[in-house]
Amino acid sequence: MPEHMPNHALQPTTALGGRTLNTGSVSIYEVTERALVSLAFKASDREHVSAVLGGSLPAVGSSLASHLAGRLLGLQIDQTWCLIESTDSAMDKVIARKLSDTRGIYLTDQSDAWTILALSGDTCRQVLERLCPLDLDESVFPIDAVARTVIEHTGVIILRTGRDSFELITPRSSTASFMHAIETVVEHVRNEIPVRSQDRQQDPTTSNA
Amino acid sequence: MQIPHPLLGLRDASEFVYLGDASLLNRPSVDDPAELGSDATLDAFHEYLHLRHNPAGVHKELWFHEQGDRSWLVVTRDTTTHEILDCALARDVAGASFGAEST
Repeated sequence: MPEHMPNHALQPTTALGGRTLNTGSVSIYEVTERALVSLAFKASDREHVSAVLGGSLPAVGSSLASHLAGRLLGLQIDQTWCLIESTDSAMDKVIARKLSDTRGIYLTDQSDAWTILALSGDTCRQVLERLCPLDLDESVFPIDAVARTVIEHTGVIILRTGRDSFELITPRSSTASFMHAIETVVEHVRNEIPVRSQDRQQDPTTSNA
Repeated sequence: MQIPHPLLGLRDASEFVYLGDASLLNRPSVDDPAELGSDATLDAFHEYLHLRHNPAGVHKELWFHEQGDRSWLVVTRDTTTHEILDCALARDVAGASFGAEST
C-alpha cells in the first residue's frame, strides 16, 4: 500500500452494532451467531427432500428441529429455511455436505442479508399486536409456529420461540428503521398503563356513577 | 378484509397483491405453428388479453401472497358484498383445469 494512503483496518459489525433494549417488561437484542440458509425445491420433490432431511420437513407455517440443518422454517410449499447456530458464512456448503443427495435442492446462504432480533418479556405480545397483522394467540400461532408477514411496510419472518418470546427475521438493510418502529411501540406500551389509570380517575362518567 | 388462505388460515388483505381475473390462468395454446398468425388465434389472444367479464356478483380472481408464502391464489369473491366464498392455491386450480375450457 502506498505511504500516502490511510490504512483503515475494517472491522465487521452487526446491523445494529450490538444495540439492545430492556425495559424490564420487554427486552430486545440482536442475535448474531446464527446462519440462515434457504432450501428451495420443486413442490413435486417435496417427499424426496423430506427423506434426505431424515423424514422431517415442516408444514408451511411451522418449524421443527433437524439434526442435519438446525431449525427448519416452513415458509412456502417449495421453500424451507434453515436457522443454524453458527457464524460460518458458507453454511449452505456445510449442509450440502451433510445431505446424502442434493439433487433438485437449491441451498443459498442468506445470513448476511438478514438481521435476527430476539424479542421477549411480559409485554412483548402487546408490542407485536400493535405492529403486525397476524393473530398471535397461542391457539392460532403456537410455540414453533413461523410466518412471513409485514411490519411497518417491511417484510419480516416471525418465529415463536416461547409463550412470551419471538424471533423477528428482517432484511438487514432496513434493520435500523425496523428497530426504530419497535422501540417506538415499546415506549408506547410502557407508557400506556399509567395513562389509562389516570384517565379512569378523571373520567366524570365513572365518578358520577 | 381478510383472505382465508388454504394453508395459513385467515390473513390480512394488506399482505396480498391483486392481479385480476382468474381467466388469466387459461392462456390459449397453439400447437400447430401454421396457426400462429391465423384469425382464430389472434381472436383467441385478443379475448384472453383484453376482454373481461365485469360481473356484479361472484367473481374469480388472482391474488398473490407477496408478504407471506408467495403463493398465487384463486379467490372467489362477491364483488357486491366483498364476501369471500372460496380460496384455493392457483397451482391446484391450474392443474385441475389444465386443458379444460375457459369459464
